[in-house]
Amino acid sequence: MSTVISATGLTKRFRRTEAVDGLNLEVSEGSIFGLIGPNGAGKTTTIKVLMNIHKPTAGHAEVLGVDSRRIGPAEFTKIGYVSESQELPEWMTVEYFLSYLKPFYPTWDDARASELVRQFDLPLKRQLKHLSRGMKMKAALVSSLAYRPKLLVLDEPFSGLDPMVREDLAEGLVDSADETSILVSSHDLGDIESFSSHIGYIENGKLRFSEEMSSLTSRFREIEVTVESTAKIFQNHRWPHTWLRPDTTPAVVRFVESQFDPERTQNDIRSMFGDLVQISVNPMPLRAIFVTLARTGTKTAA
Amino acid sequence: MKQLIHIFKKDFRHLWSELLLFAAFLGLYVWTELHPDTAFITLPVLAKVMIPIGAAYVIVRLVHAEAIPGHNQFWLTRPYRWRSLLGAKLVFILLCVNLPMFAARATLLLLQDFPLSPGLLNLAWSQLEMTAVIFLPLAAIAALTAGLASFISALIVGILVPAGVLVLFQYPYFQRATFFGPVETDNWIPGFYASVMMVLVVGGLLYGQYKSRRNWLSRVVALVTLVAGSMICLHVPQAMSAGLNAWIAEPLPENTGIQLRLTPEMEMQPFKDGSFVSSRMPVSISGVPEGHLIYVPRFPVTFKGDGGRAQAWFSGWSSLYRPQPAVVNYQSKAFTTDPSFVSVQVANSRGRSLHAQASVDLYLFPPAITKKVRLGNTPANVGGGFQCYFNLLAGGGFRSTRCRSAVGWPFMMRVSMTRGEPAETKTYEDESQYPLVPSNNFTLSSVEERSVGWAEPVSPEFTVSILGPPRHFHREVDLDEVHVTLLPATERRQ
Repeated sequence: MSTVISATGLTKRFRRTEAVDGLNLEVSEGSIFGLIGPNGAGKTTTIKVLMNIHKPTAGHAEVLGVDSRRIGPAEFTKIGYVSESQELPEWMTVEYFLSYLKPFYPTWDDARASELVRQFDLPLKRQLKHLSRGMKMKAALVSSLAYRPKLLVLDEPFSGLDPMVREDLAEGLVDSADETSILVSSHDLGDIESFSSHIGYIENGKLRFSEEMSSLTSRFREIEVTVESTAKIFQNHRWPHTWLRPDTTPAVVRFVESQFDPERTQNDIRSMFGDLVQISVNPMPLRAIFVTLARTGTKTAA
Repeated sequence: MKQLIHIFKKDFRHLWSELLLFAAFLGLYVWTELHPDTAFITLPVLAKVMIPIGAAYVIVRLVHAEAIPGHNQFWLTRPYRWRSLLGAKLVFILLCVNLPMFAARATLLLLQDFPLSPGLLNLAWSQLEMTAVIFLPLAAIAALTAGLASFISALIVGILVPAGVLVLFQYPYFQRATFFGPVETDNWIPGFYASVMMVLVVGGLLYGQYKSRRNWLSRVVALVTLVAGSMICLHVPQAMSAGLNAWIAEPLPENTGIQLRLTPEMEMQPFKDGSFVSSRMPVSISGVPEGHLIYVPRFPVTFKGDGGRAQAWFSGWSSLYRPQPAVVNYQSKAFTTDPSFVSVQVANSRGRSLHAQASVDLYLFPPAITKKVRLGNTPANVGGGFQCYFNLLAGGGFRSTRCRSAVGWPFMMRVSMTRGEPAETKTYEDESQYPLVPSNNFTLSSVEERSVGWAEPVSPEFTVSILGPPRHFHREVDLDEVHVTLLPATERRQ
């Protein structure tokens, strides 16, 4: 599978602030890549560098096989970009906004645009300035999907939207995923958990890990071990490095296994605690994985 | 091209109400100019104030529709070609700001019965100048800012910086240049150089901003240009000024019969506290064709000494040579600021002489169009693109004779009036201006009007003479042996 985005050692510095710090990233064709990370982690800057809005201070990135610094009109006919902070021409009506953009794109599909307008229930005659935030995002999304882009980049598209609108937008994205690779950033995992095929976690300008969603969710487990006495636990000085956030009570030890393998994990637990009363292994939602990673640091996670 | 037109149409749709308002102000301007006696005395002021403000507002809104600085504008990630975007903005300024303004001004000229030639040509040039020196710089400032507030801040900086430069450097400059003020025919040159620089930099800024959005670099370039432009306006080195004048002039050909001779006379009188040098620069001109007038503005003379040292003098004042074809002696005083220069050179030279070079500009006016006209209270064409009339109420009730010209006042004009018995003649002469361009003002008014006389003629008969357009000649004159007469030393200066 070819890549639509690849970045190597990508760095963006604003005076003394290193917003992106040697970031390596690969987004495969056909994937929905969720770029997650706390506020200020460098998600937006990374995307703006990829979109040639900012020039990288160091490193290299390619988008659809073109150096990010050379992305221009020809490439933007194949890229859709929607951002929470995007300034739209507010004086335009939705209808005029779409008809104004149409001649810019040779692949503009009127039927697709109409379908999306219907799906999102957009009021065509209303000016963008009179639309709610959610409606504006929908209008921006329609204007970016109507030409069937090869790549759709969304920067915090769900931020501040009500659940219904989020649901609508997510549905729109999933519908387009057949023909469009998607990079979507969010600080809220719940937004992208449901439809991302890949996930990347960015923190302090560095990509801590990046992998398929199914692999990520399958390797993280919340484990609760009930023992007869915790006294034995303290005889063991070192936890395996894949066990994160261990928490002990007199008879229970809880931790997150970041490299879950039923057999190996079982063996590790038995060698650590000896005779056990009970082991409980629970799959983790992405939000819980994210919180674990955020709180423990991620060096040992990947 | 298709994209350019598409963006243009979008901008037109966006700004149609502003354009309508702008057109209304232009209409109001035309009406108030045609009805100067309107009872609504604030209307002319309103029109004249609102037209430039309206034009600036439209331009700023236009550029900010796709603001260059910032990183959240929707157009940045759309397939805009920078050439189409910039082209659309320039075409818009040309068609929607310039053209209506030109149309309004041209309408005014035509309704006031000014002849089409040279009126419309001058008007077109004036409009071009206005675009280059006002509209495009406004567009460039807008391209450096992202919103109206930041545009106004930048504009304030754009006003304060030149003002600051003038305050800082004007006093030292004028102190140094007490006797070396610019030659009157060169008055237009600092503005010309500053304008050329502005046009080049504005072009570069617009190109750079739309192509690569280097906001901070562009802002620094704009600031440096402002400072440099202000310095140029304050002082253009004589060499640059004379060079430009010489470049646009024709060399004075031998076969015109016009002979120019300079015979400098220098006297040096040593005093205990230093030497005093006085000099005169008699100019002899002969062979001026009959009926022509010749105008010689102040001119620079450079005395050259040993070791590449040089000292510049200016001839005293301008003069218009009338008697033809007699030889005219024109004696002008020159000033020395550095007697030590002459002292040293004289001491070094056994023959007590210096080498000098003069750059002389001559303006040859063809025989004047002289016309006897009967002036009334309404302007009448008197030839040469001028209209004159007798204004009963001008200047707060004073009577005066006024003449006006389309757009600028490019040539020399004489108005003779007779009054009483025996005939008493009063002559008005405009100072000669010979700019490279047909007009050198950026006023909105398509008519420049001046009072040319204050007498109250008994008879409404006037004789109007209009000189020009002149031919401009330039001659470099080498003065190999400028003799310095050494006067006996005295105790102190007289």
